[in-house]
Amino acid sequence: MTTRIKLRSHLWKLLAGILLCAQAGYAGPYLHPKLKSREKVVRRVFILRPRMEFQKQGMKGAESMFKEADECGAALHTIVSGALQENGLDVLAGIPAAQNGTSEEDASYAVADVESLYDRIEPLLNKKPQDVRNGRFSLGGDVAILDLQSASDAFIIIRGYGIKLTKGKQAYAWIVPTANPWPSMFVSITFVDSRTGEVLFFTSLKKIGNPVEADRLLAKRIQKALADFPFQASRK
Amino acid sequence: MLRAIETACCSGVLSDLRARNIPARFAKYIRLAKDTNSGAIGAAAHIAMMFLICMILLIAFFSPAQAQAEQNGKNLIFTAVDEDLLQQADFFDQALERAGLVYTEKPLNNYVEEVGKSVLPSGAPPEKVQWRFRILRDPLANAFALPNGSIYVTCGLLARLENESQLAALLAHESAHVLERHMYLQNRSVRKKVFTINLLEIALVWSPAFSSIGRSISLLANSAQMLVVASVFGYSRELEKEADIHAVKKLLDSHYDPGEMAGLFRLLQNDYEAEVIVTFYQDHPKLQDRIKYTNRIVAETSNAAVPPDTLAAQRLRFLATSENVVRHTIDLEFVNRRFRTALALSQKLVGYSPTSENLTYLADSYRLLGARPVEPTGSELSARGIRKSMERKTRLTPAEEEHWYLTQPIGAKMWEENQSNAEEQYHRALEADDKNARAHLGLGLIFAVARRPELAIAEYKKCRESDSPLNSLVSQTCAWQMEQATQAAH
Repeated sequence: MTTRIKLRSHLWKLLAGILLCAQAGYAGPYLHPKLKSREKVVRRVFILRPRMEFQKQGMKGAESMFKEADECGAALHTIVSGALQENGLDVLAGIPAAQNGTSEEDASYAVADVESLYDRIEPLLNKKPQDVRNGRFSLGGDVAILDLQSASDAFIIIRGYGIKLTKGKQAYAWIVPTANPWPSMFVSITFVDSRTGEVLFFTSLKKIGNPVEADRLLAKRIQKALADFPFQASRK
Repeated sequence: MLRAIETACCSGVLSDLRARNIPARFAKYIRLAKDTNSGAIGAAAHIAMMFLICMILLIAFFSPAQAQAEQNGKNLIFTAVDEDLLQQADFFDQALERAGLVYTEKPLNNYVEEVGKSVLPSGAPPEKVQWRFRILRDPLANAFALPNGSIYVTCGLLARLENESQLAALLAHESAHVLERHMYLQNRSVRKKVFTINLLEIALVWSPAFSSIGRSISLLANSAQMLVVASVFGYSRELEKEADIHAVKKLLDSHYDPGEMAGLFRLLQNDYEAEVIVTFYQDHPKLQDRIKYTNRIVAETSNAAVPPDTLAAQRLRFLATSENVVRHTIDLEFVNRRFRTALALSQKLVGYSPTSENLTYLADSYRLLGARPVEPTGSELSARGIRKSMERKTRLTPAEEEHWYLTQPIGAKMWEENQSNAEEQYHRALEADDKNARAHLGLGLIFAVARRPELAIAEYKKCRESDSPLNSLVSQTCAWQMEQATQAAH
């Protein structure tokens, strides 16, 4: 490869980065027909603990970032909760299952099992999120274990994946044409019917930049992503 | 002046190469390098680059002194990389707990800890190790050890074990990984090799001779990451063998049956779901090889056999203590849609403990099997069949997958058979205990699907009247299903 071609490939990379930053917004949102037609109204929700998976990629391989993932998850929980409350939704503190006499262990098992049910359909959701509009996705009636007293209308699952590059790896990625030098974070927010397990609402967003920081820009994007949720019905 | 030097260098290099009778293709590469705008200096630089690459590979992969030092994990000197790995292990422990993935049942946890400690060496644990034996809420058959002394056995593997000796063999194997510091050694090896590959890639991109040669080597470097990992698997194969041998020797010294090590490997071969693709590079030695060499070690060592009474007592204790975790595993198999495994475990459970509760699990397994054959068919077990099955999971929702099975040639027949078997087992469960709410619910669901709403409603009523607490999932599901069935009846 000549020097001119190598430089050209880096120019393309820069251009791709600019385009990525421009596209780094949100995808969706996608509403279930019941939610759109107001057949199902969501007034009270609870949020499951966000599951964030971050990886730090360096020249000597990849490492997990457990601590940063926890902190970012807690920050996202606050941002989403705040955005929903501002729009009139009642966000329950904690999980109903943990508050109505179930042991802490059984409650944590129940949450883990519901997360497993979501794991099964998550790849399909990310691949064809528009099918939420056809009511295609459901976790099944077993999700009712989280709220047997029917204290809520829906619960929210937040998932995030991020890649952070060390300085060495970033330098490597700029030198080698085929490597991606852009750290990024992907976040998805899903509303699930507490009784039937149907996926009522799905949106996702991508952020280019430091993935472990739940900053003001990310907060704005989340608010924008949730803007199309039918809050007006819930206020009646 | 520069041109003169260039010409002199190039002609000198080329004539030298001809004199040494270098293979024709290498000479072709030299001509290629000459043809690029790099010229003669490019050719020399190319040769220098190739030499550098070979030296890096030799040092990285074949350094005998380094390999010798790293073989001996017991004398490991901790570095910052090892401390970082230890910290990651501690975080991982906490993350598993927070995620609700650690199974807690006091009698079982105490039992596993007792068996685990019986196969550990006497004396204080090694540096930076605190022994913890934990059960992971995962239906897959697996076990692993972290460098900080945490040994995890999944529910799935515990449910498959048949006796205490197999559990002891497993825990002895995993503790060997901790004692010999295998995770530290493997981590160092992987980091070194990945770093080498990354360096090679950088060097090659900016090589003045980065034309066809550089590109091919760059491709190799890109694919070699996988080969590097694969060669690490080879390293891991040796470590697994070391751990197996340690475990067999531990069993020979203890009151457990060493022949059950092979029994454990035979269990790992059972594949109920047809979801394992055997790749060229495997993390563990082939199970048949493991059975052979462990049997050989047992045969070569003449030890007094463990009395049959002792083995029988151990087996009974194991089965009694692990009954709850087997039921828990079956529930996890339902959540993860591994219905054939659930059925196999239920059959095993009913085999030694045919209570009403266990019969209900067997009935649920048949009912949820739907239109699937009880065992995977020949085509499902082929590599193509397994890939197709994985593709379906990535393309179809659970409901769509059920519909797919129903539309297969034997789908309808299997559906009828499975539902009929389920109904039979529910009746057996209710004969043993007619207050079994879960059995009434299951029977109601079968009648509802068979479009017999009156019978379904009758079963749901019995479910609500039975001994299940009102705030349980069974009661709530009953109430909701009754609502649906009543609407369907009208």
